[in-house]
Amino acid sequence: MEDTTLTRRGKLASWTVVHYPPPPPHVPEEPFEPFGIAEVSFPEGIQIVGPMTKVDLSDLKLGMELETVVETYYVDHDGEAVLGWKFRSVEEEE
Amino acid sequence: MREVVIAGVGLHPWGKFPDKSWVQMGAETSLEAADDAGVQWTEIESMVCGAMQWGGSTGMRAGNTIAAAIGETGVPIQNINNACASGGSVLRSAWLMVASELHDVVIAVGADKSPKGFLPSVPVLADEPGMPIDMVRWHLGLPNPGYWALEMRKRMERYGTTAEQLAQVKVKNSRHGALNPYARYQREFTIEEVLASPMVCDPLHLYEICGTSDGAAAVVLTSRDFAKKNGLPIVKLAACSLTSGMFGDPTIRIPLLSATSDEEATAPLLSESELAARMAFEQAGLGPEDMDFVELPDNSSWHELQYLETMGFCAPGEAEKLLTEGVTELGGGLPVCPSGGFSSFGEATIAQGLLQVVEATWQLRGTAGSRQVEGARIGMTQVYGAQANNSACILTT
Repeated sequence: MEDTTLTRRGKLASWTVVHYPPPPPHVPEEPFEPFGIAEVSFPEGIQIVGPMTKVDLSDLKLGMELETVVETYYVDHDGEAVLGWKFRSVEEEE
Repeated sequence: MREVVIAGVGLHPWGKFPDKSWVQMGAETSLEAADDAGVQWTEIESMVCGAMQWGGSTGMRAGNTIAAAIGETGVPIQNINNACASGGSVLRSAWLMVASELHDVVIAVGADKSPKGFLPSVPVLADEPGMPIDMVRWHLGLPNPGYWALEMRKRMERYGTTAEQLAQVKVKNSRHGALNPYARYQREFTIEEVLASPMVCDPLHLYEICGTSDGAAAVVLTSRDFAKKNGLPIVKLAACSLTSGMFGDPTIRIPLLSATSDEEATAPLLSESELAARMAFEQAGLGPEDMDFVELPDNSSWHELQYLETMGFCAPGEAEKLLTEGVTELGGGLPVCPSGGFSSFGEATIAQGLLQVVEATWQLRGTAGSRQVEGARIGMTQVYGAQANNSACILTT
């Protein structure tokens, strides 16, 4: 098997908003806020799901460009930040 | 391969049974199926049982646990876990044993109790290198209905499916479930109620996602000669396929987080299901047009719309039309989920594939009561599970 580095940017293929806190090992925000999940299609021919950095549903349009960023998912019991990939709109950055 | 007959069936009512163990549910239902087939427990030559992941160690060996509760007879017992497709998978193994003439009487069993709410992960080894993908997806926070919601959003974009059409799936299945004394939810829901139910994973509302239930089902398979000898009504298991997914399928599968992009896909969405239906039709020498009814896995309302296409009952984008024109309702040309479906039963993962086969058997015997599909002679069941498992069966009189 070979590793492939993906382009940072892809297109929004689909999205949902999770309205209830998922069970452990998920660590929900306190107080819980509904959060967005995006499915992003990359030029390398793969689509990947991940949380969105923010959800303003009125801004979302399938096909819009999103960028991959690394952000904190939550801080664990030892005070360590657990990092993961998230997607943010390119406009958000600019 | 010789012909295989469904000689007996048993079904436990579905719901929440906090005062009754899944072992007791499984044992009662197994004995009910044996009794229905006119056989003694000691006449059963082999047992295939769904391995029940929520039941811990004894749950993973559910067949042995249930057999011990009834009375051990020394027969081979197989425990199989293929996620929500386990029921179809155990039936497939039982079918092979009778079809191959290895055994004359085999029982397939599924008994399950599900945790409340979103189905959670099952613990993994703490020192396993890397993080298993099922843990990653929970850290990220994607419950099962989230996967289905992502597909439904695409469908709405592609075909213009309205919120009302999506809600109509639940309304239709609830009308069937209202007629089924074994269902957990035995009442009709309205479109307004469905749309007013809480949003779980946008665009899927609470009533558009099946609940998680406790349930059990069992099926006794025999050779035709054995069934004839006992004077039983003949329902033939004309096909029983089992498949897995194909490379190039764009479905993001529970609990994975990626797939081939839609643009680059070289296999159909839900390739395991498309393949299982196609193989079942080939095996039975029949086509979609021959089916009098179908029990499909309506884990969410999206599934029902998608599966009508995946299984070949209509062209892409036509499922909404079948629904709104009443074709898929009892009395229509192709009743879908006459039992009420998972939307009326809730899913009991190990058992739900067998639940469908029990319902199909009753329909073909003509004993389905007020939800009877008039003149039913050929029926189909199809069930899918996480990580691309699928089983499809065709039953004939």
